Amino acid sequence: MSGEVLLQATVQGLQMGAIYALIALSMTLIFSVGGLLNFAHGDFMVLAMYGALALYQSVALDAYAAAPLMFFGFFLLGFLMFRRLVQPVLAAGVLAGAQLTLGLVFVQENFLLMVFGGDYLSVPTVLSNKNLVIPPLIMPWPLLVASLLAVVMAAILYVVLMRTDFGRQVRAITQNSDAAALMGIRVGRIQAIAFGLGIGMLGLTGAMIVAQFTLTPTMGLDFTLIALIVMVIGGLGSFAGSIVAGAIIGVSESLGSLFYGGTVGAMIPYAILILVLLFRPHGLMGEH
Amino acid sequence: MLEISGLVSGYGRIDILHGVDLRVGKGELVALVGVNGAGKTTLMKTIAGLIRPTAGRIAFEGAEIAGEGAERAVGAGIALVPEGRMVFPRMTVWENLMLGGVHPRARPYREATLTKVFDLFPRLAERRDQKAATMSGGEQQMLVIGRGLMAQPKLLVLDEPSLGLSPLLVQETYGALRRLNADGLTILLAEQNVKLSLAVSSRGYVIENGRIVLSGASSDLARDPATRKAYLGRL
Repeated sequence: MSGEVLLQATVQGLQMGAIYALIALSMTLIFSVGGLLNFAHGDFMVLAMYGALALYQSVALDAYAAAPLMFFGFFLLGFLMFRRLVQPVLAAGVLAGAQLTLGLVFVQENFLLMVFGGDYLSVPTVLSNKNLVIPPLIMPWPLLVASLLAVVMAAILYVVLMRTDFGRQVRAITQNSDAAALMGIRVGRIQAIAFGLGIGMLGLTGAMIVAQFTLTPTMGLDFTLIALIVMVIGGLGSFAGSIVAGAIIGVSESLGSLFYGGTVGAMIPYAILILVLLFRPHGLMGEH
Repeated sequence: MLEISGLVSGYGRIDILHGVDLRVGKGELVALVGVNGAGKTTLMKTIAGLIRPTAGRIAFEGAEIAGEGAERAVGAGIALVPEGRMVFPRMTVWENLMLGGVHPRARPYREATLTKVFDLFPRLAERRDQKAATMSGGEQQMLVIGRGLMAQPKLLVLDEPSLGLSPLLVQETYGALRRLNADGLTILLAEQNVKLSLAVSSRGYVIENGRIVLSGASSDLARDPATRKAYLGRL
């Protein structure tokens, strides 16, 4: 096997890893506000992918142009959903919240099935089937753009969380919500905004990566699983951990497929998950 | 400044306070003393808006704030320094202080207030970039008092600031409170440490089983045979 093939697989793995990390980051953001594990995470993103499809079919809007719209639309969806649905249920406990998101999986999958049917669909975009060739590397433009977006989004999220008043309020609620309330922080409102941002990021991500995938209504669970694995390997609630774990999973999946074929390659994330849980139960960068 | 009357409050259906009356005038340093479980923390939390009372009134500068929530209390000018410190453990000293002044009422003055807090507690300036969880109990106590001051309160409410501190640090903390009061800050102080809090305050209330059983000038309370027998005798 040549070094070029290895390099190609590594780069492609890193790019996929960046996307995995991005999905996991929004999941971490949602987890950090109320300890909610969002099992409908991938499904929200798939909803955005179908949204991009609908916009393309109805008004011929390119998915990349639709991405900012999707961000705002999904932010609003997430904000309202938190206020009306998640917050009241979460008050009954984290488990009830998790059950709610499991229910949302079925609602969304069946909604998509009703509206779009069960056939495999794809969304043509300006970048579809175009490659950037930097010998010896051949990089599909959609993957390249999506992975660059992931890096930029991770950087923005880091700055927002670590350097702004809003971010400090989010972290304050995570660390001690009673004390946060004492500061005069409107806890429910900040949580709703953070939840909205998490779902908004999924809206953006869904539109930005839609060119890379063939759509089917039930594909959300795969994304949720990958995001969960990345999040757990990185350490629940750790943003830096999610980024590192995303890269690890992306590259190992890609190299695993190269050496042992797709079936074994797809197993590798789970194998890594088991190893991490055995030797570092709190994740690579998790706090106790 | 603060007028509490007939306050009934507690957790869920269990009332802890059974009709408390208490008054704090502008510029005063008032002590609320009582043993563990007498209802001090419940009263402090109800004043700060963390607990919704079932009956009674809390008027602050003439406005009714009972049951209006913590955001309203901070907005009105009340800052609670809670029992057990409750720092934001994985944030730096500076971040903790910034959060103390995050309310729109205090936010425009944050830099100026920060300078004052660092003047009052130079140790906090030295530890500016240190994570709160890695600091000693005394430093954390300074931090939460500083955090409370960042809210630009008209009334600073402290719940057991001496708890778990060495005598030297208790002296230091109380010295800071005395200076703040001398500069015009109104303070309501809940304490188990009866001797110390009566020494520093001008007036005091004694709370027992959710009721105020004695009140008056702190010097009188400290001499009162009933107080002496019930509290000071144990020290």
